[in-house]
Amino acid sequence: MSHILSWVVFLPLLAIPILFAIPREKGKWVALVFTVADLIIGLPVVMGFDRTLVGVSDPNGMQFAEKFSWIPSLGVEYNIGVDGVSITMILLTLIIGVLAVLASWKVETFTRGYWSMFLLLQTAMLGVFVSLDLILFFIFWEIMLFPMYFLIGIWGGPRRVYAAIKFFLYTLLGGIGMLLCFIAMWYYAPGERTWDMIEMVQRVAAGGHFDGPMIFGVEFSKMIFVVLFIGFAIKVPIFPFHTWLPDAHVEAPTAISVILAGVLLKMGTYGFIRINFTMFPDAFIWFRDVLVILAVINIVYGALCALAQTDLKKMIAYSSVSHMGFILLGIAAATPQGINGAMLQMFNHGTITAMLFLLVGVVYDRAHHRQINGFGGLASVTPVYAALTSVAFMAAIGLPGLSGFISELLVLSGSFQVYQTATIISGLGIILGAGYMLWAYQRVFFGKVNEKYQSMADVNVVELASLLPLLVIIVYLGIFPNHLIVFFEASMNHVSELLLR
Amino acid sequence: MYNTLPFLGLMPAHVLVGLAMLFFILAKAIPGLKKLPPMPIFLLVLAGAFFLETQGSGSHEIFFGMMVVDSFSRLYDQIFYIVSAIFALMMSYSDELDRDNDWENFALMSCLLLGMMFMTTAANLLMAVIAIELASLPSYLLVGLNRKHVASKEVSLKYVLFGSFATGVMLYGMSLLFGLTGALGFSEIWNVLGTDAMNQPVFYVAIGMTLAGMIFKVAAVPFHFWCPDAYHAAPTPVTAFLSVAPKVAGIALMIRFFGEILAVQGEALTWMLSVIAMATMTIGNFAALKQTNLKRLLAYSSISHAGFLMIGIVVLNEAGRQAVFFYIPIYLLMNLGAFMALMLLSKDNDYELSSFKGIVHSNPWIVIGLAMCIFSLAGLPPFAGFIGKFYLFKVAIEKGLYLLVAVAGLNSVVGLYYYVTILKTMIIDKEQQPGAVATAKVPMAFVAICAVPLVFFGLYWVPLLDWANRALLFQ
Repeated sequence: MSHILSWVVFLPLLAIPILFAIPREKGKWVALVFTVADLIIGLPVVMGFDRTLVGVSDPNGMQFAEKFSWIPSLGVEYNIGVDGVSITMILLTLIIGVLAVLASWKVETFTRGYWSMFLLLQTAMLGVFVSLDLILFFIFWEIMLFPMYFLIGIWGGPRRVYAAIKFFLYTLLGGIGMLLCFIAMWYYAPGERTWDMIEMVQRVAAGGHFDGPMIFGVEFSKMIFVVLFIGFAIKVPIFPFHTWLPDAHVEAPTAISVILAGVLLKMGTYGFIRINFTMFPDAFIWFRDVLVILAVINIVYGALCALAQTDLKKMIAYSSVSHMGFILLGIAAATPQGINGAMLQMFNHGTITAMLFLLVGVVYDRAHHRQINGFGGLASVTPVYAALTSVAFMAAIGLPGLSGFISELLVLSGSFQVYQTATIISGLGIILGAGYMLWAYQRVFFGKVNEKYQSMADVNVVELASLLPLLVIIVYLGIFPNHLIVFFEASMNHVSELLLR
Repeated sequence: MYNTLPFLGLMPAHVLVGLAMLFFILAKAIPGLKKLPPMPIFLLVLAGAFFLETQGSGSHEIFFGMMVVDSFSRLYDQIFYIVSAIFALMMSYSDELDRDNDWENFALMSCLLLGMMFMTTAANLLMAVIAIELASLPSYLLVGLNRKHVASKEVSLKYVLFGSFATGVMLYGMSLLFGLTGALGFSEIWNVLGTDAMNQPVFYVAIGMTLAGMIFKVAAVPFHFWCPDAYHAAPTPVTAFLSVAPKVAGIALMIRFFGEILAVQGEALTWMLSVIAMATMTIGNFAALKQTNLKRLLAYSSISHAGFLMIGIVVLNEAGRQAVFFYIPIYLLMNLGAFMALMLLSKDNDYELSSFKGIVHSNPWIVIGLAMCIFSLAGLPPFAGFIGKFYLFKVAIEKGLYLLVAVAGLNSVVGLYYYVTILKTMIIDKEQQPGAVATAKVPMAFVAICAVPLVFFGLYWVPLLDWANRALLFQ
């Protein structure tokens, strides 16, 4: 078996020595070549992916699997593979990777440092989505932190130091909790001790239990479930752990915001599906009501916060909080429809929000501020930009015909079967979403032309190259959502069975 | 009855006694000898002693049970030789020590080394006292040798007073233990005490006070007050040395002391030790948050690391000893690497954090090396510090000490803040004036030698694990 999946994960890393061997200003080309090459060698994985294999709880259903002994005495393995849960995330990461390179085309300070951190981040993100071993997963998960810290801290906005350390501390807090849970899960694993996630899910599905002692007077599985949930929830972020997100987004450079919103946040929800919920289905049922409440809070509270923002980027950051709530709602509902919708929303939110951040980056590059009220009448100055933005905003609102609509519809119709009231309140989030998006659009693009920006340049070729692929994906998936759903349908239906057993 | 084992088994120690004699007495007695370079002699003898240690085998009780020489002590001794050699190397790049007095400097080092070696072999309370004192006295003097720091002498005296107090407490505890059991050998004490003693408060008083001396060497709470001052005022190479070697020796002595307790271990003893561990890591960490001087900051960070190392002792089992021994080489690499890098970066021995602003621009590679050491100290993957912490967490979870684990976990997060602040100052902040470019090749290579294995062991730690397994068996 060729090691194609390992190549996909580690190819960006190979570019780092090259960066130091060539002139600084060529760094962006190296990064572009390697991310595009990564996308190209990733395509056989996506194309060759067998959509009928379920995976999730079936070690034989993991595709492109590679398994080597790594630390024998501890039983840690280099164990990677993809199934329906991870394949779309890998595709998303590869696409966003290329576009983020284009979005950082203008980075000029410490380019070698920037690109090596960027590429390391790319490897870490891909690694998280393919890891099937808890320790491997954790190592990739944490490797992501320090490149992200430097990327925000060195190349970010005015309050970058504060935002970067806040991000770092928050995620590490969740990460340490996760690590402790992983060790406890390994020690008290049903049957033989193992770090293999798929094996664990399989044993739990077969009726096994994590047979640990009470921790601080709380049942073992419930305690582990909650700590793991907090670990992943910080990443998503779920209320009340979301406060790092607006800061990080506002201060991060455009490309890093794109990666953060496009891929990083999905790791949290991926962790919910892959580890947290499927390994503790009983605790999931016990905690389900709380999950739904948190999801609704995320949706409505995020939307209300977005409505109140004056900074365009902060508004989008809060809209992200709101949209990530739909993912949690879909997973918590756990009906086949809801959970498929959640998975689709993970992909769609990744593309839509990435596009929104790219668009904000365009205007920020020209005006050097992002105040919603600081513009006006841009539609007549920069028509192409206005048109692109309108599509992205409409997709974020959930306009039928664009991708966001399908996933939100699936989530809501899936959760309505179980939680009617919660679903109805969540609908409010969509209405508010239309409110803040359209209001912002109106203030930026319509009205009297702001004198200062009368001669603002329209989007250039590089920006267009980063925006158009997302536009195509958003429109295409709005019309043919099934072309993506088929990839994960079998796996996600199985997840639904596992959770609702 | 006589036997020749004391001589053969303690061969490396005899070599070091000879070395100390040479530096102290022969140098005075034989004129002209002082013209020889002391550093090569020191390194050569260390290499010889290291070789002798690798040749030893088996577990021997010598001096009628006063000391035990076994694989455990041999491996710890090897660590001390390596750290001492690194100390000698660092000395060459520091101007804080008076190099004209090198014969005295190395004489003190040899005695200190000898004391630490006895700490790893001691199997009797009296021997433990002698070893701790033998390791402490040269430390007091070495701290006071800093030419560049006005408070050096004062701090040295503080250190002496503190050390004497700790020794006094320890001796009182030992007298209690002797009164309880009539024995001084570690294993005899535990045999006599048995399980019944677990219910007696006096047992905990005796053990707790006896621990004082060891805790003093490890710089754990409540005997940590000397540490920041001493680290601050001591010459940087001495600071680096003190932050690693005596700590390791103290831990080794504690392991030896509790090594045979497996049969009588009880809830309350674990509880007592875990309170010490939790207090140490928490106080060390929170105090470090406020430091502006990097030497003091690393001093507090080393206190909190002592707390982490204590986790391995708290669990009182084989896995714990293995975890400790696994952590030690990693701790050595990252701490010595960090000190070496700081020494190279500092201007005029100024270790205030603000003087390191934006230093990455003038010395990018050293800062990258330092960053690797610092991330490793913070316990982030893929650096080896993470794996070290991972094993400590693992043994504590296996033992079911969830409170300890939770406190240790939170401390890792708190610790990250001050570690990252160092890097923030060096990398993100703006440079005030262009810094001098460090050119010394050897120490730069040394930083690399510390930093690169941290990544290697962070990703593949089987070699380290095999090594740790050898110390596990007392043979």
